[in-house]
Amino acid sequence: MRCFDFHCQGESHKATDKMCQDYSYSHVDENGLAIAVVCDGHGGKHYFRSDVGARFATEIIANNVREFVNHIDETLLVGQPFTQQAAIQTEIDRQDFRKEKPVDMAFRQLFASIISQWQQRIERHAAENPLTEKENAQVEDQYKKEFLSGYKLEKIYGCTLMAYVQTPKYWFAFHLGDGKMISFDHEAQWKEPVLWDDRCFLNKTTSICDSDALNEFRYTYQGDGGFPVAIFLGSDGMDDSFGEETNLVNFYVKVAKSLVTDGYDATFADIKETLPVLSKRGSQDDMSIACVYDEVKLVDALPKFILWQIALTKASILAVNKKIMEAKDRRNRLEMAGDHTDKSKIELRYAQNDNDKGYAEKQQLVRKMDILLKEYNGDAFVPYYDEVGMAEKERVLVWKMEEHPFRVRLVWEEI
Amino acid sequence: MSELRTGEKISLLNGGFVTIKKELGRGGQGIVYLVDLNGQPKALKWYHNMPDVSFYNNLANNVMNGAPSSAFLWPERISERQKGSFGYVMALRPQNYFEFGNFLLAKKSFKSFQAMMAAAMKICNGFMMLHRFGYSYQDLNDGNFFIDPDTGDVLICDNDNVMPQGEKSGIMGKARYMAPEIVAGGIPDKYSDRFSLSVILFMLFYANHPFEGAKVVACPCMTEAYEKKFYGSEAVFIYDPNNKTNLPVRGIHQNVIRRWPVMPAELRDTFIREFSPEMLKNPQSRMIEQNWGKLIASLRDKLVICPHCGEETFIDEAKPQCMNCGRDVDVRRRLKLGLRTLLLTNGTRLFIDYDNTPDARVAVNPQDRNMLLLQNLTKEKWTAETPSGKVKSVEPNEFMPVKHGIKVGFNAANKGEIIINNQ
Amino acid sequence: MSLLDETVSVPRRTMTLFFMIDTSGSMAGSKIGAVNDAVVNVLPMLDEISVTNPDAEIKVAALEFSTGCNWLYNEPKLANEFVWQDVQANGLTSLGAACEELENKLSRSKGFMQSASGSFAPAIILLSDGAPTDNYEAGLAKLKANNWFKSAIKVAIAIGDDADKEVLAKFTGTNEAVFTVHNIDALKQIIRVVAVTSSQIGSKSSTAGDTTKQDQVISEVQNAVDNIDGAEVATKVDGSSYSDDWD
Repeated sequence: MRCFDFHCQGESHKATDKMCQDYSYSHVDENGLAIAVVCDGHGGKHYFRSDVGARFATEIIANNVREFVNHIDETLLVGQPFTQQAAIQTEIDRQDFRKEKPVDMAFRQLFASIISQWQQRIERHAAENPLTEKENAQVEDQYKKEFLSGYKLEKIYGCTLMAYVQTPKYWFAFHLGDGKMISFDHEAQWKEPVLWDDRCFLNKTTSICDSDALNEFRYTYQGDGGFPVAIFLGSDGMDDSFGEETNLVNFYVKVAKSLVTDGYDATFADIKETLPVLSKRGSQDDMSIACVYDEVKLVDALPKFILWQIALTKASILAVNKKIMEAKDRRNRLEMAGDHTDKSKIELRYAQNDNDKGYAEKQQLVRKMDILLKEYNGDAFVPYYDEVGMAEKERVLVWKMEEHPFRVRLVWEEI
Repeated sequence: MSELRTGEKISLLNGGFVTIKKELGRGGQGIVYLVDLNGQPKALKWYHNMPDVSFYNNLANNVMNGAPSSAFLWPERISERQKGSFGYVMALRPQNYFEFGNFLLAKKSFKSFQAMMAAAMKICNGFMMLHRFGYSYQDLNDGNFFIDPDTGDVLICDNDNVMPQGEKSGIMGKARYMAPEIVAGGIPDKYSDRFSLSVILFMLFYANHPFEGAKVVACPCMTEAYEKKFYGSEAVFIYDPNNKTNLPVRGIHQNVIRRWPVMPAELRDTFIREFSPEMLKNPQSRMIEQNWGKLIASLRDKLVICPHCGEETFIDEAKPQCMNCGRDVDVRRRLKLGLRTLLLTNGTRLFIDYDNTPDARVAVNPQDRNMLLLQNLTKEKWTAETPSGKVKSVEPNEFMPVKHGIKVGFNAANKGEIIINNQ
Repeated sequence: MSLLDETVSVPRRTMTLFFMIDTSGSMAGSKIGAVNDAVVNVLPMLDEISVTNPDAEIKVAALEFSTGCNWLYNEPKLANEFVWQDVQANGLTSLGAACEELENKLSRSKGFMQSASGSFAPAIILLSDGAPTDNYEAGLAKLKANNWFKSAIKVAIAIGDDADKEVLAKFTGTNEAVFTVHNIDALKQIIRVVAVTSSQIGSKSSTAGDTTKQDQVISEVQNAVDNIDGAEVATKVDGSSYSDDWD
C-alpha cells in the first residue's frame, strides 16, 4: 500500500488573502494500516477559523481511527460484506429505519469521539486565542453575545470531513459533508463507496459544527476480502472543477495511470503543480486530495483504466455524433422549407451554431481518443474514425472492441 | 442452528400446533416467524439452539401464570421440544409500534407530550405489575420496547427472560441498561430493575442516556473495561450538579441539551436525586414504581394546551408561561383531586386515573367565552355538588361548568373540587 | 503538467438565469413591449458578466406563460447566443402550470440543469401584472419541494397594482424580493437591475452560511430601486415563527 495527500489554497482565496481552509493527511504504516483524511473548512465569512478547525479534525481523525483499529473487536468487521449506512437524518427523512448492530454502535462511538475531541480542541484554541479585532468584526451583532459566552463557538471552526481506513483484514470509510470519495476496484470499475447525503447540495453542506453532527455521519465497511485498488478523497473544490462526475473520475484515472507509468514521485510532483492550476481553471476553491492505493494491483489494472477511458470517450463521441446529425437535420429542414420569418432565421442560425460546435467538440474528442488508443495499442494504433463530423474517407470502417482470451484489443473492421 | 420451513407444523405443549407462514425477523437468540394457530395469525419465536431445561420450565411457568399487564407481549403458548430446539407463541406486534431505539436516535418522535407521558406511565405500570407478580426483568434494553408514537402505547417484548426474582437467567443485559451493581457482577433483582426503569424513563424523556456524556464519548472504541467503568464503578450522571466531568457534548447529545432545560423542574430534580452517587450505591433507596407513577401523573396534570398558540406546554406554576410562544397562560382554574392539582385550559384533556385514557376534556362555553366547561369522556356518570348544595349528574359526553367550589365525584375512588383562584 | 492534458476535461461552471414572463392578455401593448425591449438590452450585459467572470458562465432560459406555457428554447443558451424572440400577449395567467413546467426543468435527468458539482444555484425572475387564473397553489407546492428552486435566487417584479403581490411573495419566499413598478420606464430599468444583479451575485463562488445570495440580491436591488422613479419595494412583514424542538 502507498499513499499521498496534498492541499492548496484556492484561486479565489488568493485574491482575498484568505488562508487555505482545506487540510489533508495520509499514512501507511508497517502493519498495513492505511489512513487517508480530507477536511474542508467552510469558506463563509462566519467561519473565519475553519482552517484551524479542519486541521484539528484531520489530526483527531488520524489518531482516533488508529485507536479504534487497535481496540475494536475485529469480529464485528471481519467477514462483513460491503455495507453502506446512510446518515441517520436521511433515515428520518425517508422514515426507513435500519436495525442498529454492534458494529453500528462501535462506529457511532468512534464518530462521537471525533466530535467531542474536536469540540475540546477548539474550545482550548479559542481560550488561548481570543477573537482578534478583525475576527470580531466578522461576527454579526446578534451572535456576539453567544460567541463571547462560548456558545456555538464551534461555528467559526466548522468543516466537513471524510476518511478512509484500511487494515489487512477490512476497510471502512466515513464522510460528513460534501466533497467526493471515489474508489476503483481491480477491474477499474469506480464507485462512490459512501452514500451521498442529499442535504449537501450546491453550496449547502452538513458540517461537524452542526448541532446534530453525530446523526450526519455516513459510512461504509467491508471485511470479506474485497479492497479497493485505489481510493481518492477530494474536497468539493475538486468535484466542482469537473462538473459531471465522470470528468472527476477520469482525472483520478489519469492520476492512477500516472502512478504506474511515471512513478510515485513524478505523479506527486505533478499533483502539486496541477491542483492550483485546476483551481484557477475550475472551482476557484481550495483543493485537497488524499489517496491510498495498492501499488501492485494497480499495475495489473492499468490496461483496464485505459479501456474505461476509451469507453467513456466513445460514449461522448456517440453523443456528439447524435447532436451533429440532429443539427444537420434541422438545418436541412429549415433550408428546404425556405421560410423567411424571424423565427426560422433564428432557428437556422442555432442549427448552424450547434453544428459548428459539434464539429469542434468532435475534433477534440477524436484527438483524445487517439491519445488513448495509442496508450493502449502502442505506436501501431489505428487512429479513430467514423462517418460523422470528420472528413469523408473512401472506405467505410466500423470501430469494434474485440474480446480475446488474454487481452482486449481494438480492431478496425471493413464492411 | 435450527431453522423452520414454510408449511412446517410445530406441536405445542398441552396440544395443538402452529403452521409456519414466513419469517418476520431474526436476532442473536432466535428467529421470529409468522404462524397460524387455529386460523389466528400469531408470532412464534424459535430459538437457534436448545436452551437448558430450567429456561424451558421457567417459560412454561410464565405461560401458565399469564401476562402481568396489557403492556406485555407475553408468551401465550410454548412448543414441545422438537427439531433440536423449541419456541413460544405470542401475539403479533401491531402496526405503528416502533422500537424504543428509534426514539433514542430521534428517528421517531412522540406526536405529543401527552403520548410521551402515556408511554412513561405504561412502562411504569408494566414494571410495577411485573414486580407484583414476583418477577424481575433480566434483559432490559432498548430493543425490548415498542411504542406507538401517536398514542404512547407500549408493548414490552422478549419476555422470555423474565425470571422469578433472585434467579439468574444466564443472559446478560446490555451494560447501558444495567445498574452499576449488576455491571460489577451482581444478580438482577427488583432494585436493579428500578434503576433500569429510571434509565429507560430518562431516555424516554430526553432521548439520551443519563451516563453518556463527555467522559464516555472521549474514547474512540468502547471496550469491556471502559463499559465496566462508565456504566459501573465510575458512572457519573451527565447533569450531576457536583461533578461536571461528564456533561453532554454539543453535536452529539443534542436531544438532552435541548430538552433538559424545558422539561419540568420536578423531573430534573428527581433524576438528579436518582442518579446521584449516593443512590447509585444504595439500590434499596431507589424510587419505587408507584412514586414514578405519581410523578408522571403530576407532570401530566400540568400539561395543558396553550390558549394562545394551541400547542401543548408544561406549566411551571411559579411562572406560568407557554414554552412554545412564551406568552402567559391563565391557569387560575384548577381541579383539586386529593393531593393533585390539575390545571384547566381550553382543549386540555384530563387524566383522572392512571389508565392512560383521557377522562375529561376542557372546552369553552360557546355562550360565554370566559366560562370553561368540563366534558365527561368516561362511560360512567359523574355526580357534582354545587357550592349551594345542589346535586347534579353529568352523563357521559355531557358538559358541566367550571365554577369555583363545585365538587365532582368521578367514581368511587376519585372525588375532586373545582377551584378558581382569586375568587 | 501531464495531468491536465487533452484527455481531461475541466468545463466551466455554469449559472442559469430563468425569466418567467406573464404574457396574459392584460400585458398587451406597452407592457409586453417594454419587457421585450428590456430583455434584449440586458442580454449583452449578461454576456459581459459571463465573459469577465472567472467563476462561471451564464446561461439564459425563458418561459412565457398565459393560457398555457412555453419555453422560448428547449435548452438554456449562453447569454451571447441567446436571440430574444419577442413574446406576444394574450390569454389567461396560468402561473400554476408555469410553476410545474419550471419544476420539470429544474432537474438534471429530464431538465435544464447539470450535475450539482460545478453548478451554481439558478436565478429566477418572475414578471407578472395580474393574479393567477389557475390552481397555482398545487404547482407552486411542487416547485417549492425542488432542491434547485430552494437554493435559487428568486425575485419577482409586480407590474402595476393589479399584480397579486401576495402570490409573488409566496413564489419568492419573502415579500422583500417582490418589486413593484408603476410605469414603463421603471419596468425596463428594474428588469435590467434585477437581471444584472442576480447574474453578478449568482455566478460568484460563495460558501455555506454566508448571507444567502437571494438576500444579497434583494439588498442591492433595494438600493437601486430607491433611485428609480415608479419602483418600490413591497413592505416588510413580520415573519417570526416559533420553532419547536419537539417535532
